[in-house]
Amino acid sequence: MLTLPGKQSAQPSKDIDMTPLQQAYLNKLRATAEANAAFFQLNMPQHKMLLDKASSASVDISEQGDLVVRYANGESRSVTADILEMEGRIEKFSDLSDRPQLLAFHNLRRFVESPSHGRHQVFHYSKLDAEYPNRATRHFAKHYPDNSGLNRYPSFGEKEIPLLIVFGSRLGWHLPRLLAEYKIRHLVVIETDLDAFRLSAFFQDYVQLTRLAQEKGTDLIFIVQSELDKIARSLTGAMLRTGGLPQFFIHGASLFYGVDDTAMVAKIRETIMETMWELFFGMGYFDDELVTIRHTFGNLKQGVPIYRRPNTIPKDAVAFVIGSGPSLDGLIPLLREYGDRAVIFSCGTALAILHKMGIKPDFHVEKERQNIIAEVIQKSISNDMEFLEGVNFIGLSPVYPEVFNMFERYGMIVKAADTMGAVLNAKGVPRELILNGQPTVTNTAIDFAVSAGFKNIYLFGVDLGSKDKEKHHSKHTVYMNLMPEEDHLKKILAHQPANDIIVPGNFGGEVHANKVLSFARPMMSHSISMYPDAKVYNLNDGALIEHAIPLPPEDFSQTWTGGCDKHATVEAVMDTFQPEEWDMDELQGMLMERIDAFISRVEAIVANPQSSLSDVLDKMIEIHWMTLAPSNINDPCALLFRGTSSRLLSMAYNAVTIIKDQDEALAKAEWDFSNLIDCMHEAREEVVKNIQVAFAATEQ
Amino acid sequence: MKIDPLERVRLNKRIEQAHTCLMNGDTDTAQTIFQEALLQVPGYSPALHGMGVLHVACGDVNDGERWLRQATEADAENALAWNDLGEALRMLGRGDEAIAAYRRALELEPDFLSAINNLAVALAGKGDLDEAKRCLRQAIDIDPIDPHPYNNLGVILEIEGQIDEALLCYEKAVKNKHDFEEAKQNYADLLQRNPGQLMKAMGRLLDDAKALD
Repeated sequence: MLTLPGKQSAQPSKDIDMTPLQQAYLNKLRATAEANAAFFQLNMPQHKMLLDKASSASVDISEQGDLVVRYANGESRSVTADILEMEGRIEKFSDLSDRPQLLAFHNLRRFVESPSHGRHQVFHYSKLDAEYPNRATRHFAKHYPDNSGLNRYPSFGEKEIPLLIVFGSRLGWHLPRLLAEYKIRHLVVIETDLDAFRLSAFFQDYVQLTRLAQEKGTDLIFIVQSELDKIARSLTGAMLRTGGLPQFFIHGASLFYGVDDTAMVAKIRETIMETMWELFFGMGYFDDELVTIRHTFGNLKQGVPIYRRPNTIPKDAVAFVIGSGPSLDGLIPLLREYGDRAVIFSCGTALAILHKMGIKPDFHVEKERQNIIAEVIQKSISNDMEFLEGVNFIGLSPVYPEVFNMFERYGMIVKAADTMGAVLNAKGVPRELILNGQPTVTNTAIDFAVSAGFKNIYLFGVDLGSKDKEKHHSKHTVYMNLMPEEDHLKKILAHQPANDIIVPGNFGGEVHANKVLSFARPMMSHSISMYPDAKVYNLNDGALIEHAIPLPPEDFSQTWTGGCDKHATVEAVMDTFQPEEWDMDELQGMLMERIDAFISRVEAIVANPQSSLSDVLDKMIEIHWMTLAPSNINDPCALLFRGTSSRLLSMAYNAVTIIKDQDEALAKAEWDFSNLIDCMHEAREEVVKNIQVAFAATEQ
Repeated sequence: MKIDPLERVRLNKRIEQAHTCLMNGDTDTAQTIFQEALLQVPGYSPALHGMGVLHVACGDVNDGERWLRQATEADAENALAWNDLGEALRMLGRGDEAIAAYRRALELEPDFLSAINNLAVALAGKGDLDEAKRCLRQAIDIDPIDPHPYNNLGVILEIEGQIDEALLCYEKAVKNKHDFEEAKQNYADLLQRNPGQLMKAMGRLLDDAKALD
């Protein structure tokens, strides 16, 4: 036996006496690795870099050509044994009843007699997102009151696999076998052992594997990554990219174990399950978008000036952005001392604290669209309406029109990723003036401040996490103080994803964040990074915000440049908002035209013949991508319908993939598609009705 | 009528069972299923159609025609019902109405072979042999394996005195369906009446046999 280096660039040692067969075989392995390296360089450079490093495993080639892989941990395995083992796994995989799958299903029988958003209904002007999913569950429960006629797990037929996740590249034998044997739409190979991937490059011809995938119409994705979090993110990214699968296809994803189901594999599976919510996060839903349509039309009709003049703030301007994080309590003295030489932006519930402290902000910022915000503001200042005198207001376009009217002067920022934001963009509001402002109101204020041209911004109470797991807000916040009577907002906030996420602390160490705050952090970092000449100082003992400068409060004076002329700066800020006259009929006409065209396209997709589950899946994917393809991402209707259509399609997908009888599965799909179209038609009527209500309200 | 697709699939499966019962002579079970279907979805066209076929099969063509008409009224796009209504009308000697019914079935499903064949027979019955031949040739184009249009075309050609062509059609019919007794009989009768064709026919048979080698 000869021990030969598994290193792709290594040459055989001259003192090793190899037979011609051994030499030829070694050359063959190297040629495969070199071809793979060249191929990865061309198509997947991130993987090519992995191949540049030598594998720590080595290969023995006997005089007769028997191959044995010797691993760094001392284990060895004959290549023939590896092939046979993979064959065994492939055979096991062919048993549908025993094939492992990821499960993420709806309760398809949970319906209510009078569906609504429950207590949240008061914030919505429609209840389609309660009604139509409910119709779907009621329909399912009527026809399938028990599990007879149903498979326990999703089934796509013997050979069809929409999403196959393969754990382990091993020597790669299983990959072409799986590709050839099954009709796989998306094949994701996850390898956590970088060394194993390098080794596989000597044995598996990835060039031909990719050709085979192309021939079979399979989207082949390699996730070669040792960090578990990144694996789940990469999987999410793979699904959400163009041509990927609807996120709900993760339910029923088949799993092939190229490696044993070790603790590591279990951990990957668990991480995928844990991060799965991200696939479904931020999709919005129609009833919520209808609020934005009604409110934005109302705001435009009542002539709220729109943010139109970016980067016009004097260079010396200083902004204090006030959130309601727990650090705010300790920063109040600083705020008192320097507040008269900076523009103070109160964000959402921070207003209550400022009121309690007797600090009047220059601007109050809101992003929430619920009509109760007017009441929340009023109560947060203990009905002391005089406090609002002299306070200017900045709201995102979906904010309730009455909230603007609570203030003497106001301006509106057109919101991104929003139906009306897309409409207004189509009507000439430039993309760069449509701000994301999500997910927290401090994101809104910071997005605005950097865009408007503030070069010195101090963050007070913008913690985005807390050292104390339970403490995400200042003790003076309205969230903590029990609000009397209808505490709807608190209930909404209570619905935030609440799990504990550890993130790096601003002053070192770690802090606890919930999902919303952990999402707010990178969004804020991104916004700040877009304006490198703006200095954003993070004074809070909360989460580290990349691109913001951590500034312990005691060092505040070192950065203080003397502040700015508050009055002039406030006027400059107000001047960024410009009053405009909109042709409301034209605006409405454009929106309705687009909605009609969108519904017609969905109807055309649904009308295509369907004779197999595969046809049904094709329709689902096509409808799904109408709302999520990057080319449609800013389409008003994509934004209007994507959450609702995704939910209804997801429920349909759950149902049709577990119904045993194919004719029944197709019929169920027909019903579900029809339910989706009915929902869209009713949605259209709701849009018309609510725009009229918005117009009528402003005329009163 | 808007019917839940799942309900429709399940009903249609039951109705299919009923038709199988009918073919096996179990008219009672078939009738029970059709009636249950009508109780579940009153005016359901496939069930009305089944009742029509059942009545015709039992010899009650008049009632059968009424049920079948109701089936076409309940669903004007039920091609099967239109075709069978045509059959009932033809049996009742109402040739023109039968032709109209077949034509309606063919508007809905242009490749509906039974309806084309039935239309051809009805047209031939009315003496419109050219149109009947055109229909049968269309049927052969759609499905060259189906022996019935060949046999029917053979009959028309024989009536027209085109003996060579008629024999060829019978031969095709028998070749495509070896146990097609009616075609075999037509072939034998025609040869018997035209012994001069025997040698030619034998020659074709031998050619076929050689081709098999």
